[in-house]
Amino acid sequence: MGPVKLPKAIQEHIQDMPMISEVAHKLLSLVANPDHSLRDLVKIVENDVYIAARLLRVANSAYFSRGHEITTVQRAVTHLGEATVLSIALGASTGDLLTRPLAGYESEAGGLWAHCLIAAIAARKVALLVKNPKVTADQAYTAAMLMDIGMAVLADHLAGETDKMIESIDTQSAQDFLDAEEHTAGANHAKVGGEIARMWNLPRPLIAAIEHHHHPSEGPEELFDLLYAVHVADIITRMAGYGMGVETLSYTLDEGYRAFIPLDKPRIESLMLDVLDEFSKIEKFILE
Amino acid sequence: MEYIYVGIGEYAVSRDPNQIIKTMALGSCVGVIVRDPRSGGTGLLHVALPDSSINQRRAADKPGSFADTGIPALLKAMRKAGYDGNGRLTVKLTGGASIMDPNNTFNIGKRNILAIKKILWGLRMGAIAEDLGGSISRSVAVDISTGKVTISSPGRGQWDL
Repeated sequence: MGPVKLPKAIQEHIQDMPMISEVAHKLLSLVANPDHSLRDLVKIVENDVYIAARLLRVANSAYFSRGHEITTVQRAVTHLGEATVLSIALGASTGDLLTRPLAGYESEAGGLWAHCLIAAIAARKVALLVKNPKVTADQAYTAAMLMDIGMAVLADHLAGETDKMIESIDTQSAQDFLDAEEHTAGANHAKVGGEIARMWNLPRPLIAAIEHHHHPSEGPEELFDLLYAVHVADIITRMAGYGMGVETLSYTLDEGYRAFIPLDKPRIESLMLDVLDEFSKIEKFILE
Repeated sequence: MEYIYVGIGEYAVSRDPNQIIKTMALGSCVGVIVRDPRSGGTGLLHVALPDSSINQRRAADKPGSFADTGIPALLKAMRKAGYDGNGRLTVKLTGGASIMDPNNTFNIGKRNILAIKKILWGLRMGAIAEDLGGSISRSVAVDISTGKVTISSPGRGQWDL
């Protein structure tokens, strides 16, 4: 799984991107290790004043605190749970990368972040359904949260091309939006995201999940359970209407998920409801 | 103009000509728009799933989530807003899109459309206009003063239904 060849302008754009913060890098490496403890997580976040303050603020909000005052980072982490802590910490350490408007996708400010957060919630639930899992729910959550990071770069290279891309999909000269990105910019957002993850020196499973989230069957076999959990979570999120708008539903299902995740129609529908319910409870705290 | 936003699994009914009812990003969900031509009462329902049997507690809390509980709830709200049960309501449908899934396991949009049409047929109501299916996410707005229904989709502009 080596670097992918990308057009020069995109490659240069990736190289000009800021590095991910040290705290975020430590967190992502920690979650990649299934044996980590909550204590390890506390050690990382309590050293970042900004993240620690945000965790305390959210933990003391009416929804999370339920009347109990939380005064230490350790208690805030225990109270919020690992997934919520990761969302807050990653949101705080990626700056406006996930929240700015994305011209090439006709997406307003916050559109990508909302999509990532719902997909992360879905990935956590889907990972728990994987047969004989090697993947943990928190790994799937983190991977889904970062899977579309490539859009933050590719959006600039697709600006002004939306009409042409839509036409290529409608006339079936492109199979789906991923294919249309490839035709237009010479790369798709999954490949671009994989390169960003490589530049950030993220753990290998994360790079693979970002790079193959639309076509897990093309990824490394030993990571299939993670890749398919993220893929299915992405699809469920899109069915619920949460995407960038222009491309929300314009993707193809990779049916290889069937070998790893037992899903029938009622279970898919229940999952969608559960994910939307959980998102509606936490969105105002995480998306602020 | 005042906008009333309808979320997933919600509905709204109005007779106020200064209002527009709108719902965003339907995805696989279906927007059901009904109008009483006599009173001008107009409603919009955002159905997420076909059948309430998968979660009856949610059906009680938020009946608009499901086709089988949402349509009766919408019609009840229409009666409260002045529909006297006589004469036909006009019905329009939009949404019900899907990703590309050859086996339709994830095709909630198609299942929503079928469930809604079946319920409407049972009530002897049929849609006079529809813009359904495909792989595009639609938003829909209905202007209470005229009954005009406008669909929009990012990158595709807007059009009347």
